[in-house]
Amino acid sequence: MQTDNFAAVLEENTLSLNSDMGHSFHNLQKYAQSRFFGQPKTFYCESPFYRPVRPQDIDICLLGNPLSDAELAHPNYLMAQRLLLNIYEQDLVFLPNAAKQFKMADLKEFYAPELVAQGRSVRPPLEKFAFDWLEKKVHVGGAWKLDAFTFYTNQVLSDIEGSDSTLYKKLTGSADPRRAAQFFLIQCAGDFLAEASAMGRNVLGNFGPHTSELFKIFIDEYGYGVHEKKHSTIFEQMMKQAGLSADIHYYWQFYTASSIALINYFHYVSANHGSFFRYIGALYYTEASLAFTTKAQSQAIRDIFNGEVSTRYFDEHTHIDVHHGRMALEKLIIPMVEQYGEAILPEILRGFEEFRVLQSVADDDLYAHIAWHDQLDQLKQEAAGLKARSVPDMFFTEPMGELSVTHCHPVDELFCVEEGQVEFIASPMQSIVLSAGDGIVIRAGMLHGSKVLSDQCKYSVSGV
Amino acid sequence: MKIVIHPVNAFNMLSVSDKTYFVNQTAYATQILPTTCPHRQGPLHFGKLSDDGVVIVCPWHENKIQVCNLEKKALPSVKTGDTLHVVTPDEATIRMWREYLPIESRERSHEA
Repeated sequence: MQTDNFAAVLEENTLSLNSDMGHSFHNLQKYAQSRFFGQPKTFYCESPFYRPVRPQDIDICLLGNPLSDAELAHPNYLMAQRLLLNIYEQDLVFLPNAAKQFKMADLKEFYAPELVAQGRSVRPPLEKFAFDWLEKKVHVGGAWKLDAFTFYTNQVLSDIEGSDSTLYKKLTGSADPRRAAQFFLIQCAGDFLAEASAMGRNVLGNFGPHTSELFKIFIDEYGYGVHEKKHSTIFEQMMKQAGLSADIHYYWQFYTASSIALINYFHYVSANHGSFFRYIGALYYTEASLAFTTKAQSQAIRDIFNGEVSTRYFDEHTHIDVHHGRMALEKLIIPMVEQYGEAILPEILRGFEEFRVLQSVADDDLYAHIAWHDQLDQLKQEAAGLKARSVPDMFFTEPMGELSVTHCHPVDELFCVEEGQVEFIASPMQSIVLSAGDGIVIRAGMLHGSKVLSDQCKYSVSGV
Repeated sequence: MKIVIHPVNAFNMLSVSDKTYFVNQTAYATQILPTTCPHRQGPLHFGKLSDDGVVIVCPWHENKIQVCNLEKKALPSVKTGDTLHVVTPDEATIRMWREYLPIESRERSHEA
C-alpha cells in the first residue's frame, strides 16, 4: 500500500523531530519493516517468525502520546501490543511444528542481533504507550499491612468464586456458540501455547528460598519435563479437537489487542525486574482466580462441543491453581514480606489489581467481538441504509489478492464496495464476500481484514 | 476489617472513627493522607503541595512534610478507575464529605 510514498512521509517526519525521538522513530520503522512483520500472503501465520504488524501504519504517537483507557479501540493500541509481543518473544525460542516450515535463514534473521537490538531500543516508549493508561487507572496507596492485604485479596477472590460466569453465558448465548468458543480459544492461544514463558524470566538468578518456591510453580506449568504434561501441550490437544490449528501464533492476526496485552503485561513486569513484586502480585491474582474461572470455561467447552473436545486443560488448572494460588500467597508473598517488610505489599497489590483490570478489559473485548460476529448480517443491512445518505471520506483501489492485515478503527466506519469483489474477514470462522453495491458497518475496535477477490476492487470508507 | 467502596470524586475528606484524612490525587497516585501535621497537629489538608508533589507545607508553622512519610500513616487503598476501595477496621465509623481544599485547586507540574 503505497510504501514508497509512505517511506518518504516518514523520512520527512523523522527529520523534523528532535534527535532522540527521531532516532527512536527510525529504529521503530526499521524494526517494523522487517520482512517478518510486513505484508503476508494469507491471514494465517504458518511459521512462528511471521507476525505482521502493518508497518505502513507506524505512527510517531507510539513513542510519545499514550492513550487513555477510553481509547483502547484505537489501532495504535493494537499496533503497540503487536510490536511489544514481537520484541518480548525474540527472547524466547520458537521453531515451527511443521518441518517444511523450517528455514534456517528465518531462524537466523528473526533472532538477528541487529533486529533484536532495534526492538529493544524502542521497548521502553512502547511499554509506556501500551501500559500508561493502566498505571493511571490503578493506584495503590497507603500503609498496607499483611492482614489488610490478605483480607482485601481474599475478598476479591471470594467475589470471583461466588459470581456467575459471564463467559459461559456469552459463549453459550451466542448465535453460533461453537464459533464463539473457537474465537475464545484463539484469544487464549497466544498465551497458552507458550504458557508461562514470561515466568521463565523470573526463575533465573538468586533470590534465596523464594527462587525455589517460584520454580515449583514453574515446573508444574512446564510439566516436570514430561512433554505430554506441559500445559501448552495439553492446550494444543484442545485446539486440535476444537478444529483449530495448534501452531503457535497461527492466528496471530486474530488476537485482539486486549488479549495480547495479557501476554505482554507478564513480559513487561518480568523483563523489567524492578517490577518483580508487581509480577508476584499478578501471578497471585491469575493463579488464584483461574482455580475458579476455569470451572466455567471447562463447562462451556463441554456443553458447546457436546463432550467432543477434551477439557483437560481447564480441569488441570481448576485443580493445580488451587495449589498455585495458595503457594503464591503462603510460600512466596508472606515469606517475602517477612523478609523484606510490608513496604513491598503495595507493589504486589498493584500487580494483582493491574492484571485484574487487564483481564476484565480482555473479557469485555471478547464479548464485544462475539456480539459483532453475531451481528455481521445485520450490519450489512445497516450499511445499505447508510450508504444512500453518506458521502465517502476516501476511496481505495486495490488489485486482486491484495490483503489488508487485520486491524481496527477508533470509530464506527462504513465500508462499501464500489467495483469488484472483496472477502471481508472478521474471524477465521467468519468471512463474507462483498460485491459492488454491498457494504458493512465496522464497529469501533472490532478486528477485521480483507482480501480482494476480483481483478481489482474499488471501495470507499466513511465515518458513521 | 471491612472494605469501604466509594466513587473517588464523591469525597475529598474522610474520617475513620476519630481520625481524619484527605485525598491527595495525581495522575499516577491516589493517597488518603492524615490531616494532622506531625509537628503540632496543624491542618495539612489546608497546606500547600510543592510543585514536584514531594512535600506538603503545613499552614501553621510552614514545616515541609514529606508525602512519602505521611503515606506511612495513610489508609490502605486501591483506586481502580473511578472507584476507591479503602480497608478499615470493622468497628470503625466512616464518614466522607467534600470541602474546599486549596491543595486540590493548584496546577501540579509533577502530573505532567
